[in-house]
Amino acid sequence: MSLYNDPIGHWVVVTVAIALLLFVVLTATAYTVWFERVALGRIQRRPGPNRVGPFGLLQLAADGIKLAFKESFVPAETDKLLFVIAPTIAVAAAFLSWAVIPIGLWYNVQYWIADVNIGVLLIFAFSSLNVYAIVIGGYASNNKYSLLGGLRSAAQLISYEMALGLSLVPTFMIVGSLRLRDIVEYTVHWGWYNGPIPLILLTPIGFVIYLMAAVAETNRAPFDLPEAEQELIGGFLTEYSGLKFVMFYLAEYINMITVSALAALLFFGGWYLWVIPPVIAFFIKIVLFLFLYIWLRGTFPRLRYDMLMRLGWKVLLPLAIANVIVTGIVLVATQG
Amino acid sequence: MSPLLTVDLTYTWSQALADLSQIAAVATLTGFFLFAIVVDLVLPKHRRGGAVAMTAVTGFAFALATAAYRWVYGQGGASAYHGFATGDNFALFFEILFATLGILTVALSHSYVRKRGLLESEFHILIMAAVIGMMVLGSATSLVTVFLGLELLSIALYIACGFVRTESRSQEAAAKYLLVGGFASAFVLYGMALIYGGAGTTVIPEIAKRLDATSSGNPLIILGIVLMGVGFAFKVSAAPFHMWTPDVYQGAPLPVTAFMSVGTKAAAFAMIVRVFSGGLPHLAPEWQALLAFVAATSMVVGNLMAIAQTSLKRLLAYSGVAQAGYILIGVIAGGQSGLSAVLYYLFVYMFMNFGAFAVITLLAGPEGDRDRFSDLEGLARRNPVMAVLMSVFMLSLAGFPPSVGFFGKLFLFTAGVSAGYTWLVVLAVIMSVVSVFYYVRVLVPVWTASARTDRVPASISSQGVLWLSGVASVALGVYPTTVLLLGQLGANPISGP
Amino acid sequence: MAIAIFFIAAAMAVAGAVGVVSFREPIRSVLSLVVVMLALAILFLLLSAQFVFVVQIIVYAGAVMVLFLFVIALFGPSRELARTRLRFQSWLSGLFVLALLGLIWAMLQGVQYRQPDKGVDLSVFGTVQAIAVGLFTTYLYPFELTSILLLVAAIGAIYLSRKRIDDL
Repeated sequence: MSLYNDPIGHWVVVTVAIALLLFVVLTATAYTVWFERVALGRIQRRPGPNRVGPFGLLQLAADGIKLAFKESFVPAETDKLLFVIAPTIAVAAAFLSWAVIPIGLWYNVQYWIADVNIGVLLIFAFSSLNVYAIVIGGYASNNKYSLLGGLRSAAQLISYEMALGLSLVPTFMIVGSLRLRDIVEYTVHWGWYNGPIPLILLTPIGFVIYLMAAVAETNRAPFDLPEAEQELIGGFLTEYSGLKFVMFYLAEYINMITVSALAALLFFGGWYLWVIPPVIAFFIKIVLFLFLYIWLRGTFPRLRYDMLMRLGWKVLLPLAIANVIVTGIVLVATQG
Repeated sequence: MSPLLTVDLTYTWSQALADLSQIAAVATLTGFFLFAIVVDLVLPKHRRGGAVAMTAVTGFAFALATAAYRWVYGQGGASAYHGFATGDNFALFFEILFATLGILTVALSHSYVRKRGLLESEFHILIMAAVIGMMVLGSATSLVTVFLGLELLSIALYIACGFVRTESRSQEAAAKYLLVGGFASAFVLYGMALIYGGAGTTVIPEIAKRLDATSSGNPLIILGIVLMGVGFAFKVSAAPFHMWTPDVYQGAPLPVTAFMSVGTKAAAFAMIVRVFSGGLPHLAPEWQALLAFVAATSMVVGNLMAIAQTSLKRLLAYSGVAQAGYILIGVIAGGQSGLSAVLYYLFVYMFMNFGAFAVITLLAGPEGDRDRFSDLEGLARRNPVMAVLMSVFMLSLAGFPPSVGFFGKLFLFTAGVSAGYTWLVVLAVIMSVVSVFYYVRVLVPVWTASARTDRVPASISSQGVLWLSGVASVALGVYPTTVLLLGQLGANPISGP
Repeated sequence: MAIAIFFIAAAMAVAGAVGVVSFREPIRSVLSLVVVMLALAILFLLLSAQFVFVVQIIVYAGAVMVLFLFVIALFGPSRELARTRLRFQSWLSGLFVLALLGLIWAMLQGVQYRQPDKGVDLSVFGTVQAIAVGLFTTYLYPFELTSILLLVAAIGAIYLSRKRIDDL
């Protein structure tokens, strides 16, 4: 597009793209919440929201309005600035990852904001900033349970960050690049016929580790001890209500969508899906992953904290390292 | 993605072996270090300490033998790993020095650690790591490697200083050393970054070639020299950057103090000589001025403060500050005579100083170190050998002929005079006379008749250390030319023959 | 555009650094340090070092500072004791700062930087591939030394943080 190369026009295009992406992601998040409540309801053999709007589709709008009108208070003896900043960091870190995720390439129109050489690393970088939101939120609540929940959650996050990163290293080794578009393009011509074959066939163990680590990273069941109501009265979220709570909630679901998008891109061929057009195929894959998440939540009991840490350090991490080593050996052996 | 055809990625076996042979001592010691960690992991608890001590001593002996072999049969030093390390005579000299120091430390600390109930295997592993760092520092030819060696040495020593977890003074020493050392490393790094900006490379011989006399007005280089000089002065515990030394020496467990007092000094001097004399020879007026100021201050402050001390460890710490001042004269003098004097003095200083600390270590009890003057009382009757050796060490440090200390100072001062720094040498001589007072004051309780008759137990290895240090202090003084010759050979790569 | 970003990032870094030493509550100091790390990452990006930019965020801001944050959060909200007045030290330090700034100003006037050598030709500067090539060819020896350094630091951390301080 000639508009892309023109200096001012370039910035107009980028601004419009960012605004559009924000809108799409926010709407997607809202409907993910709806989807979760309906699906969880069905798994638990109850109807789920079905009053507000057809099939309960406007439920989240109603919830959002309710939460927005709640009284906004800050606990008495704390650092007010930190209390308010924590949810901001959560949402900011969640949104920033979307700058580098390519949604599709449809008729030569690039549906992404920036396609950088270090693509996936940027997503790791921004997701590692989530830890601050949780620890600061727990600390600034001036509440023992919040602090404990915050520190536990942060410990969980940084433990599983490593397994997450290492599980993706074999994919980078095979493709030879960190750029997300390159990885998606690789699915087309690596296989035995000239068409997209999902990369999960090359790194199945990597996918399993990635899935477990991703569920832990987003604080979702069965790894959601830090925010469990039965254990820690809501963990670091205890003192948050109203719009600040909405921001945390939103951040968690955006993270879920980000992680699903990454899984679709790195393991399942990105925007390629037979004859279905690219962007729509991408959305379909994300929806399928989200359903997997919700299914996990509805089915498994929660992991106790020490079991969780043990799984992360003693099972996933050595497995991921072994995976890297084996992949390296196979790569060297088959290509000389 | 365009292919990276413009970079040569080949690394043949012969290249790898050539590179490894340059840093053979470092590589050998690293291998033993890793082996010691595995030994500690595998063996049952009661056998761990002795096995790791044996591994450590074997590792040091191997490194010593490797360095000596390369000294005698080697083909001289070439630059290895794209110019980041070398195995020239300067590096080999220091590798021999550090390996000897390592053996002395392990021998001395074996019984001390047992007596105080500390974990022996970690201790020896940390000492090995520190010696690896020192050897890397001695053989480094790039600013990056210099910094890495410095950090490796420092971090191992921070931990070793805080080794006695139950004693708050030890923890305090570790915390102080960490904070001040980290600060000093930051200064060094900032200076190195500026020098890199001015020279365009981190490889030290290249820097020497690129920065000739015309760049002496470049403020970038001057600032870099000042900052690096300050950082180096911290590490070598020269005044006015010596504030950490007395507290850290006093708080750390004695074998660590003994090791540190010699090791970090020698390694830091290797660093100073490499970077300043080797890397910035044409900018000598700048760094010589800075080092002259530091040397003068060190001698004055070190000697004057030592007079008032009541704790032997602090006394030896301040004496170390003064000794650093003397050695800096040799660095400032430069050239063949100056640098060979520096190497000679560092080698013999090891025996003098370590011996003195060894005697104090043997006085220690299970509850802690005993370093008051009163603990030395009646040593002549309790353990006459130790008394005699202590006298040898103290008189050597003071510079009485014909001890090694006298010859060391002689060589340093003659080099200083012939380089034109007569005022500095006069100050040094005056301060040496002042220092005699407190060195001899240590010997007063040793030789005074006293009612104490409790024996000073000394294990075989500690006795061996004492005897070796004592004999070396005397013998190398009677025949000074052997080590001086070695020093000259060692200084050749930097100063030119 | 790049100049504007540079000034914003530099201002963030300086403000964060000042914040580290001047805040009374330790947690605010820690968070100011995080701001400094992020500002440095932006400065790296302005110098086309993309990989270092992202690694700075992942490692420094995302791991090292989290460690600091854990420790401070466990200490709980506390304020430092009242600051002791600095008497002549403030004048002395101010003098040194002025001297240093003067030298830096002189440096920026007529400094002679060394031009980068021609002949080293990798496709784009600062990419992962460029870093990887450098790390395994030219900088191999420092790379291996750093691994030993990390090993020693890990040993020390484990030793210093053991609960039972008598025999293990």
